[in-house]
Amino acid sequence: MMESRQILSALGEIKEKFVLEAEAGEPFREAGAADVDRAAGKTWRMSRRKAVTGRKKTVTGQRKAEMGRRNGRGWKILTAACAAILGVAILGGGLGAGEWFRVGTQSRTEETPAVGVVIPPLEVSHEENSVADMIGFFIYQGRVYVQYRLENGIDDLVGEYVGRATGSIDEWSSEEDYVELAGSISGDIYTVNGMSPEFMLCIPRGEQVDLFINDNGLTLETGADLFEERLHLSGNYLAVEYEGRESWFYGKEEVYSVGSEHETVISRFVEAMNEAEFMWAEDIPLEEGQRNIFDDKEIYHLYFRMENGLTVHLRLFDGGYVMFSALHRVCVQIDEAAFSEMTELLVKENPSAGN
Amino acid sequence: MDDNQIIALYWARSENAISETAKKYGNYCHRVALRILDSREDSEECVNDTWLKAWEAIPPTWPEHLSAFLGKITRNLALQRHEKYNAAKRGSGQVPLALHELEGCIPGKGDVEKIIDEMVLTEILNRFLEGLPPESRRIFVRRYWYLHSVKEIAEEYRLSESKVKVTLFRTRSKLRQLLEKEGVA
Repeated sequence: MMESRQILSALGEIKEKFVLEAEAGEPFREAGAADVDRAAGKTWRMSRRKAVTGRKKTVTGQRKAEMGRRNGRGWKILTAACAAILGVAILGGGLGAGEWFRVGTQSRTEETPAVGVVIPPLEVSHEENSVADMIGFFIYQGRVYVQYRLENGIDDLVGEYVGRATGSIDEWSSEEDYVELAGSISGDIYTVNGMSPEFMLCIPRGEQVDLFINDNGLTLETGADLFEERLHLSGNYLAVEYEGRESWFYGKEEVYSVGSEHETVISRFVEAMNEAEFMWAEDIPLEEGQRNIFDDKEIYHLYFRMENGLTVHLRLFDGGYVMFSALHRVCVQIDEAAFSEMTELLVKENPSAGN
Repeated sequence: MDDNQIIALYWARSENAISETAKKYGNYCHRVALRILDSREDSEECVNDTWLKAWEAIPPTWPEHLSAFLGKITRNLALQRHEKYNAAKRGSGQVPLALHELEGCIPGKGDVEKIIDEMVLTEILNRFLEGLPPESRRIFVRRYWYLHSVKEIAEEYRLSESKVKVTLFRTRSKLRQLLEKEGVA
């Protein structure tokens, strides 16, 4: 006969999302519900204070969920706040083995192209509170590669061996430690099949592949510079999936497929992305009371599953803005009709996936 | 410090990883252990064991949710410790009560006796929890994962204690039905 102890023990292995959901501690009822008042009596006031605390905890939980998810089993998601202080730059131009890097803050850009954006080489100072050395990155051929996401299946993605990241950087590293192949993580570095090694490299980890992207000095005028030239999106995706912001944020993983019969809509969407000009995400206008685009404007996440096993993860924001998740400081604002057609399709496909 | 920064410290084999973990999740893990062990001293030891386990597990693991990862380790270690103490007649806290309540999920003696794999049971529990209304699920997890008392749950969620009890009773009944249907109990 099964024992209750077995149930208690098995409960310890339930999905983490249930544990996090319960941890949030948000009250079920609105303040002042009469029956709760009667039932709780004096403790109501105390509970009310706890409810306030609970809300704070929920926000923490949301942050944790946001930080922990999506970039592959917890590999770094570079949030906007984090991005503002992260960076590694090559000082003095080209850098060979033995030359050094400085760690510091990232300015927006000094170059202003007529169209689009130039993602600046990151100025990195070796300040005490810098989190640069906490982010997964390595230096290869003078370029800094930062973690993008972890993908399953190594066969189609992993190309040629190019070197070994030493993982020698930690919070106590000095400027002199920032040398070729140094970084905060270690492992054998390979090219990614179908991708320029200047843009993307990878480190296989068992059955998975840890992907890294270098965006330093990237000039992006229109969407095609990224989505076609670097990511080769058109004609190379096998499937498109999506999830609502709520699901993504809380790690619910309610991911749905966009049916292949909607290929025309997807194509028009990609085409519109390619044609749109790049802009700084911080230039997206916020309405009164809105804090930032990630908290207040995000509506969907789109996943293009590519033939080579790569996933191109896009974030969609109210107003027609689309962002490649690895480059969270820049985005494109696409044609309104193409954006609406896509979002309306997503609503139609699964109304509950929206927000 | 955010979770990924803490995890990065583990990966960098920095001893700061443990101090930062303790700073952020020490109270949380201590509460998880205390509800099971009902002893501050034992809970303290259990939480220290949790940090050690985390140090061993990261890398290669990169926990998706650090709090849940640490909470799970603490819970498992505390339950193991409780088991040991119980054998030595030192058992107390919420565990005996929770075990007693969960007996209601198990069909009577007339049923076919079967040995059930814990993984199968966990899979059933996950499906069961997935199908529950969020309110019932949160109450159930609070009670049987976190081992919170009915009173604590009522206060935290601002419900009456009777509402919590009734919800738990109904949820256990549903679980019993599912276990019967699955033929595992």
